[in-house]
Amino acid sequence: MKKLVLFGILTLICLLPACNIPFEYSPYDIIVEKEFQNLTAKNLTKLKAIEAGKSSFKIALISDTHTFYDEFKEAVEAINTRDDIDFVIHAGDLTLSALHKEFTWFNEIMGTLNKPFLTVIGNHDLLSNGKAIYEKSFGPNNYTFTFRGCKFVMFDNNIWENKNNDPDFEWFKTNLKNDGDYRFVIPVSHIPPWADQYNHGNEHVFNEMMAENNIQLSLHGHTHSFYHGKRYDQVDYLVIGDIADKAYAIITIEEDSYSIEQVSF
Amino acid sequence: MIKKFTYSILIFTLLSTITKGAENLKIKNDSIQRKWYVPQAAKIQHAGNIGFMSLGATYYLVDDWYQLSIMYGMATDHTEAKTLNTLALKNTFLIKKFHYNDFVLSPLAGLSINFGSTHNTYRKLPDYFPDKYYFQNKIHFTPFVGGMIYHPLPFKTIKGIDFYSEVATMDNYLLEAIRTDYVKFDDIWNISLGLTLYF
Repeated sequence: MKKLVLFGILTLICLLPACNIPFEYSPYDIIVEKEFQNLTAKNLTKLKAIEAGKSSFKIALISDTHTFYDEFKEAVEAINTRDDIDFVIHAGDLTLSALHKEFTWFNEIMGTLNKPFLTVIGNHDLLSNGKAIYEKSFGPNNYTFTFRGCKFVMFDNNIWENKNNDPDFEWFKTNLKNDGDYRFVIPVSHIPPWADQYNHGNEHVFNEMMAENNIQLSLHGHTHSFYHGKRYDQVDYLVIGDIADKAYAIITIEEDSYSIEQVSF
Repeated sequence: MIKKFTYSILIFTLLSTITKGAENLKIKNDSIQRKWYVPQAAKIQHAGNIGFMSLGATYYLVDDWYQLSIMYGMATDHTEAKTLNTLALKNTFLIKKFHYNDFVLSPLAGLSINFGSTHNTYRKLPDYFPDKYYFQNKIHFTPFVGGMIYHPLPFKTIKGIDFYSEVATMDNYLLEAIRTDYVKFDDIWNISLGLTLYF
């Protein structure tokens, strides 16, 4: 019996390292599997491949998946069943604490999506080394892309987690310009301008830029509740709730109009 | 700063062993009359969420079955993060010792309390955040299980050595494994290896 116990402990000590269990140096480490690197560029390539042939398109908007992995998985499965959705936008807060494992779990679930997807970074994604993990996994925090005559301006507008610094409004202002005869220029940023991180000055600056550039629709997350309306009498704001609400929004872009629909799953 | 701290631990451990060497003259009934701050052992560990390599001083707080190790680990050279340091209070319980010839084997279990130091980790949020905007993300609890094998050494200063390996998880991971169907219990473990030198 004693020999059996000894053998058991020895096995535990010596065979544990041989198991397929990873070494982990820190939960804050910057670890991104190769298959989950440069996802923005990879998805833009996929988007380019389906761009031709039509002028209208549909986007599914989701946000604030955090660690609601089960509901997130359901959302992806629900979107996968729809052939009419061209691509998905995630409006930020991919994770809860921006730990590398959380990014991995996010990417594993998003990896089952059968459509291209694009993301913006949320405030939770900027905790610990989240900014570096996000950049490695997706690409730059601020970027633009075009699809079927529309321009999308993907903007990191988080403030407090960027050491209480204002967002890069210069970049935003420059890129909001309709510099290619686009039907719509649609900005996507995590925080709507009336939410907690915006003081009156920044709220005013944000709206002024929208008005100056005749922006019609702006997409957001962060507040964890659905909102669609012209809050400042001019720009149409769409805020999608968190994924635990079990709903996503469909934005249909036509030749010179768009429509918004909330879909439960 | 990090190097200074590491050297301090090394020097402290070495000085402690020299001090203890002098104290060897006062051995009574095989137990050493140590100053309270002199560690009974030193640990060097790879991984386990305390850095690529961590060093620590170990104290027996209850006989010789409960060890408290104060560990300091760095991962800076093995990650893209500019700073990634961890201070850990590692509580190890030797569950039951089995003697076999000169060897001592023991399964072990414990809980490490890890204080992380990197970008945007907060114990207390900066003033510009509203109260309770985030739960603190600097301190993590990491339960672990493992085993160790000890062998005495014929030296005056280092009287024995053990090799141990542990499988650990972390509070955040454990919570998600309990709370969600998606995160499986298989997904949340990591492994570490270490040596303990006994003085």
